[in-house]
Amino acid sequence: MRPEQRSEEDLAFLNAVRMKAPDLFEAFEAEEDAMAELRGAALNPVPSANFDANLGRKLRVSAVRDSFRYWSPAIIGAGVAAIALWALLQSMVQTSVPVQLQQQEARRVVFPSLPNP
Amino acid sequence: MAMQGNEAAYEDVRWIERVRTGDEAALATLVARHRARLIRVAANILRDPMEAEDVAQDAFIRAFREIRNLRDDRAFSGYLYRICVRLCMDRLRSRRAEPAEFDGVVPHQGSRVENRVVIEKLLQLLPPDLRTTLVLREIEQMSYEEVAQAMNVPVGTVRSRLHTARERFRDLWLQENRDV
Repeated sequence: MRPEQRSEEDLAFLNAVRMKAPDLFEAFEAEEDAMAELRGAALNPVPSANFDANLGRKLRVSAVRDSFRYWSPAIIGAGVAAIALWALLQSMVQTSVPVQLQQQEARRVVFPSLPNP
Repeated sequence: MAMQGNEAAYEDVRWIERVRTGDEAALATLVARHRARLIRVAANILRDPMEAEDVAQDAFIRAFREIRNLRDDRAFSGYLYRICVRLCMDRLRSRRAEPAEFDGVVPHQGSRVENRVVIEKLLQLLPPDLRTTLVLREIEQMSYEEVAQAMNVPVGTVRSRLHTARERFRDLWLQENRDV
């Protein structure tokens, strides 16, 4: 209880404590002093002029980040699906070439050239 | 939170409804209503006004992000302060690994500025939960119930922490004065 809030009864009680248990009263007083110093060291800063502007900027960044976080699984999923589809199509195209054709040697075909006019 | 009157809580409800519809002016009004106190609470816990502004901004962002999911709009203020206190405690915990910068403190001679430096040094020696409880109760003059709500702990825990915090702070204070 703060000194300014003490009633007559409180003061009488504290006085009785001081008479009967001086050590206890001393500890109590020390604690009251320490708390008074603590309250005296309270900070009361004034918000800086750019507080609202900074907050607005942070809110916009946060909104973009949240939106990205919301859509990123879908975008990543679509990317993976596209790669898988492409790989599937590639393998289908390769397997559709006849084995015989794959094993044949490549031959150079020479076409007869036309005489110069 | 009961730290605000019922009237103020109902006033908040009006602005929150407008914020949900995307009204930026309502958002600015809500910020203006809570800004000063939020910064002060954070500054007294962290003892750093610049960092306090940063924390207050983060608290607003988190509160606005979750504003659609708020079950009771009258609890907005309590929700906001709870976020702020949690962010402050997170910062205090991460700070504890760093060495204290008070080795060259001028001996305590009783002037206001020197007392403030000594108080900051002593507060830094308390664990984050004790320090926050002490600041909310003694400097912010919150009731036990308000402190419990802001720290998300039972009232009994607040009482026990406050008892320990006062005792430790008193011992540190006496030791500091004895050393001088």
